[in-house]
Amino acid sequence: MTTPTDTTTPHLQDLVQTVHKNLKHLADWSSLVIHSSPSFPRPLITGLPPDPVYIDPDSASTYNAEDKNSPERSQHEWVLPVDLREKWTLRKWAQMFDSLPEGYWGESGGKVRGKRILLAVVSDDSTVVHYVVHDGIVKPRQN
Amino acid sequence: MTSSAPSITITPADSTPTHPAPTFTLPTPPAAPARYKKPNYNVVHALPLPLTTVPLPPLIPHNPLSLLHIIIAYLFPGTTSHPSPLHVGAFHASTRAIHVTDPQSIKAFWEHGFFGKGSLSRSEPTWVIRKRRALGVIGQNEALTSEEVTMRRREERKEFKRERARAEKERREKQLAEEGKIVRGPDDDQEKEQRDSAAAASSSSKSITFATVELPPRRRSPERPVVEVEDLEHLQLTLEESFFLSFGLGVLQIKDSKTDEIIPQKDLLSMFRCQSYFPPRTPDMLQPDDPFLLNYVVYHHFRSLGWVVKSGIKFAVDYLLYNRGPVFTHAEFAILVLPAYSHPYWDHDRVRKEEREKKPWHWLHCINRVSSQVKKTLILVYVEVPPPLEKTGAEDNVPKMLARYKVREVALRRWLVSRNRD
Repeated sequence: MTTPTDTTTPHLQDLVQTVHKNLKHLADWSSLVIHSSPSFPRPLITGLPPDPVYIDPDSASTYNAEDKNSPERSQHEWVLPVDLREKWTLRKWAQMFDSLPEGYWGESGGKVRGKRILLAVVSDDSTVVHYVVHDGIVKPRQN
Repeated sequence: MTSSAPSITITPADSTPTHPAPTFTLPTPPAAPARYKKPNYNVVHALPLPLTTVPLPPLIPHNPLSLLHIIIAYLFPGTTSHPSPLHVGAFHASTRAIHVTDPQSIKAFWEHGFFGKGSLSRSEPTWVIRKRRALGVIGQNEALTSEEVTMRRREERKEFKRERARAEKERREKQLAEEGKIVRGPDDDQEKEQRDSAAAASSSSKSITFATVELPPRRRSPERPVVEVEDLEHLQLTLEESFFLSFGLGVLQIKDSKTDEIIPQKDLLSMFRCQSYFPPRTPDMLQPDDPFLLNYVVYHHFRSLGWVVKSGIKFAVDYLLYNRGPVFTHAEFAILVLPAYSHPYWDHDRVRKEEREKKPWHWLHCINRVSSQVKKTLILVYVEVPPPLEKTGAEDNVPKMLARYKVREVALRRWLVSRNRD
C-alpha cells in the first residue's frame, strides 16, 4: 500500500485535492502547499491554520489568543489526507513520521516541539474529520 | 463543477440600516446578543421526502358518489408526485459521490428529507453566507448559520477555560508564596519579560523551515462592499443516498461528470458497488458483502421506516438516526453496520468468519462509551449476507437481489447498577 509510487496514483491525488479545498475554503488555512514528492510514502499538505491546532498543556495558561506574534500562531502543520475505508497500521505511521524532514519544528510551551501530523479523514458525505497524531507520548490536556 | 455553479451577485440593496457596520475584532460576543430568530422548521421541512402526495377524497359510506370521486382521483391524479423534469446529479469519481449544483434540487433534497451535505458546510450548504459575512457583505448577526451559532458558543467556552486556567495559576502561586516555597518580588516580572523576549528571539532566528506568511488584510470599511461571491459549494450525496433517491424514490437522475451522459438505472448498482472500495474495484471483483450493499440495505431499511439517516463519522459509527431531521432534535440512535455470515455457504470462509464477523470487546467498549457520552443509544445492525448469485444477469433484478439480505437490530446500552435501581 505505501510504496513510493503510490503518491502519483489518481485516487490519492483526488483525496489531497478534497482536503486541500476543505482546508482552504472551510477551515480558512493559509500558505497551503501540496507535497507529492516520492520521498513521502503518501502525498501531504502543509499549511498555517487560523488558530493553533494543538497547544501544549504547559503553555495553555500563558497562551494569548490575541497575540498575533506568539510562537503558537506561526506553527505550520503537516496534514495527511486519508480515506475512511483505509486501514492504518503502526508501521505505516512510523513510515510517515520518518519521512518528515528532521530539524526544527517550532516551539510550544518553551520546549522544542516534537513531530506531529494532522490526520484528515475524508468520508463519503464530504465530511473531513481531523485528528492530531503525535510522534510519541505527550502530556494530556485539561478538559 | 465550479463553472456551472451559479454565481451570486450582491447589491447594496439587501443591506438594511438596522444592522450595524461589520466589526471584526470581536473578542467576546456582546453581553445581550440579539436573538437569532429561527425559521419555522415545521413549515420548511413539512414534507418528509422530495415527493408531493395528495390524499384521496374521503369515503362516505352512504354516498356512493364519493367512491366515484376516489376512483377518478386515483386514475387521473391532478398533480404528479415526481418533479418534472427530474432532479439531476453528477457522479464524480474524485469524491466517489454525486454532486448536485442546481439550487432548486439542493433545496428540494435538503428541505424534504435532509438528503446530502454541503461540501463546505456542516450540513446544509451555507458556505456562501459565511463567506459573504467574512467579506463584510452582510452584517454580523444577519442570517446566522448553524456553524456560526456553534462557533460563538465555543468561543464563549474557550474564554471560560482561559479564565479558569489563569485563576488556578494565580491561586497556586499565592499558595506557594504563603508557604514560603517561592519568593515573589519585583524581579519576577523582569525575569519573565527577559525569558519571553529570549523565546521570541530564538523562534524568529530559527524559523527558517517555513516561508513567512502574509495574511490577507481584513476589510474594515464602514460601508458594505459590493462583492461577487462565487458559490464553490455543492450538495454532496453519498452513493447510498443517491441510490435511494434514484432507485427507491425515482426522483434523481445521475449523469457522469466526464461524459455528461445520464447513467442508466441498471448500471448504477454495479458501479456504486465498485466505487464503495478504496481504491475502486473492477466489476469482476464484486462480492455479496460489498460495503455499498451492506450500507445500502441498512440505509434503505431505516429510511423506509421513516427515519432520517445521516453519516455517523463524527461519533465513530456508520449512521445516525434522526427522528424527523437534524434541525428538530439530536440523533437518538447510533448505528453500527456489521456483516453476519450465518449462511452455510460461508462456513469455511475463514477470512470472513474470523476477521470480519468477530470484533474484539475493547473495540465495542470504545464505541459504546463514545455513544453514551453523547447520549445516543448504540444499535448493532447485523446484515445477513446471502451466498453469491449463481446465475449471471440475475443481479439486474435489483428488488429481488436486495430482498435476499436480512437485517437484525440489537440495541446496546451501558448498564450501571447504582443508576438503574428503580
